[in-house]
Amino acid sequence: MRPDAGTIAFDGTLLGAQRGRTISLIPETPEVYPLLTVAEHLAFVAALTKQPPGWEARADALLARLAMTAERDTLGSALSKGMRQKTLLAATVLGGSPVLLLDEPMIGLDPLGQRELRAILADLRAAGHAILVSTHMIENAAAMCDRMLVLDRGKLVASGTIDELRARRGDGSIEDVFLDVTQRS
Amino acid sequence: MNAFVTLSYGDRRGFVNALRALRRKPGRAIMWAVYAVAIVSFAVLKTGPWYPRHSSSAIPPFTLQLLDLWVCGLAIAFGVVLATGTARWLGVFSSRAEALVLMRADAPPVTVAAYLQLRTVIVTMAQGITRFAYLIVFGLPGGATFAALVAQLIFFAAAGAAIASVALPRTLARGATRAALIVAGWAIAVAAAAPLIADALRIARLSGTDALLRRIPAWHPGALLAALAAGDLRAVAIPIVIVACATAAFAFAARDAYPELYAISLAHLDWRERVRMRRGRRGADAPAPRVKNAVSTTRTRLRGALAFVWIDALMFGRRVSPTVATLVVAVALAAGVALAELARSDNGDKVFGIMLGGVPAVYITIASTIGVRLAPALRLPLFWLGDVPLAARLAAWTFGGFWRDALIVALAVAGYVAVAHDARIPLAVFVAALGLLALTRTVGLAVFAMLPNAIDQRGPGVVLRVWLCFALLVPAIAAGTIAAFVSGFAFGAATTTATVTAFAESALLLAFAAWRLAGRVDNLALS
Repeated sequence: MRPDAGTIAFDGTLLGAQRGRTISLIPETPEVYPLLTVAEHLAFVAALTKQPPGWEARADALLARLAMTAERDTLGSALSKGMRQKTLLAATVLGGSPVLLLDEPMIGLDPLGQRELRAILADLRAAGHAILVSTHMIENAAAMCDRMLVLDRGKLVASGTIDELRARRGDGSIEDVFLDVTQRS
Repeated sequence: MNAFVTLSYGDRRGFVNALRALRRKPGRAIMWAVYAVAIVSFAVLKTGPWYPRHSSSAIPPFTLQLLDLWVCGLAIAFGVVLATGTARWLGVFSSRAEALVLMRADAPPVTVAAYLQLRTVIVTMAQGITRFAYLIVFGLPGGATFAALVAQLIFFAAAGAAIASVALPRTLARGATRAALIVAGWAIAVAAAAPLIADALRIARLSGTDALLRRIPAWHPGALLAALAAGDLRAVAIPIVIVACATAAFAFAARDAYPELYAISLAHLDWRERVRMRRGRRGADAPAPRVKNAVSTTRTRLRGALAFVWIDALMFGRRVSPTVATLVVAVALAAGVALAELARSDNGDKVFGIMLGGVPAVYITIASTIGVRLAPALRLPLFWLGDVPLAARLAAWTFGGFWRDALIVALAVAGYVAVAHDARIPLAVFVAALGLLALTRTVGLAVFAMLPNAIDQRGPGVVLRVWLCFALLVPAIAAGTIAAFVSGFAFGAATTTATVTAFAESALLLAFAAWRLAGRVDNLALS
């Protein structure tokens, strides 16, 4: 998207047109190459981002961490939404993107899949990745985010840690806070 | 009639909504208006009294053979569909929801079946007219009357509709009717192929075929198309009669066949979804893929943008079966051998003249009608990963399709050299073909960057692509001509210079496409 105004910076560095190295988007419908296996997706990213020798071991470790070792030779067309999400997560982490941008990651996942994804994201955050999640599932966001930004019709109307936002309504839930600041309650 | 009006409600509303969407994007509406004006202007220009006319007795050489190719080609397609009942582009119910609504409509099944068949015919005719309208600009010879030109256009549309109209009756046919249709279909296909074979033998004048050719009557089905100019409308009437008969037959056969129609529709929708998946799209109701696993290949020396070429080759190997690949290799080699034989025949010079002038023009015209399928690639997040510039990604994506076409040309050249035992001219032709392939592909990419909508690409996009291809050939040919003069008419130097120029133009087109696509992909990928 071409910006109307403003800039995007990460870690004090302005990001230009070639920001694909820093930010990786995982959209709501995570599309993968239908005729590549999971392992080939990782090999492709390793070649595309010119990873140094030894990437195979890191790729295997990533697949093990995401519980996808058994799907190593599964074609993209046969993967479920959750598996495609995990494939993209593995690929972007292998590619060295420090910022992950996820759009509605929980939609279409069963409760177990949602719990798994939350654990994986927490794992990645602990490993030093910055993760930005765009979602309408407020309580889900509250369960996994450090900070929350509330946008209403494209404008920032509230921001802060979960506790800071909760404090605005006293004993209210984060959903109440959202409805409050967007004046929809 | 009231029932038809009721049944068509959904389609009519869809059409109106599409027009409303067009109103929200006035740029597209203007572009289509310009396209229509351009087509009509060319039609008027080509039919006016100022255009040189030829009498029917002085038809330019090979015109009848070219018309045979159109008429017989369409007849072969008709025969094959009649014989095999291919269900790949059956319309029937366009969605599960439509099936549920129309099957419960307060109308007799025979009316619903007739409506479905008529809709298929009308849509095919409309698509045919949109797709072949550009032929008025580029393909059809001038000097005809306006009515004849319109009749030719209707012929292409009606022939397409005739082919589409027999698919459903054939699929529903059972028992003796089915067997009769299969026999009739193959008989029509074989009968339609015969004049083409005779034409090829007459042009080639191969040794030992004189006696055979004297016995074969000079029958040109293409004459029907030529006769349209003289007001003989048989070429239009025949497919229209077929459409009418097929529609009546279908309505009769499908009067109590809702279950079969529903099953055919589901099979068709599943097939369409599989095609979408192969192209990188996946709908919510995607069917389970037939093959789920493959042996992973993870070693490659291609790095950076070249990784796109690697995965393209990998996916191509899985998409195309060894049988099809072997068939394409055999056909390419055989085409090269046949060309070498033709070049050695009495008509060799003529054949070479046609090849040098006609084949690139026909290739450009046909290649420009093939849609650019970049949008599915742009939708993939991994396409954007890493810091490789967009122009390099697009170049690699373009090369992914380019190398396959280049390989086919190389095989044809190999076949030619094997027979002719002279590699100089075929190699020069191969080098020139590389430039042409690069130019047509990058022109397609640049036009996609301007007109990403799939429907726009089939209308104004085709004309723009053909125009750009021919216009950009001029600098390449000029550079080649200058090189020929400078090098003392060395054929190799001339073609190499022309190809290098074409590659330089392709690089500029890639840079333009990258500039145009950067930051706009969220819009383009949805088109």
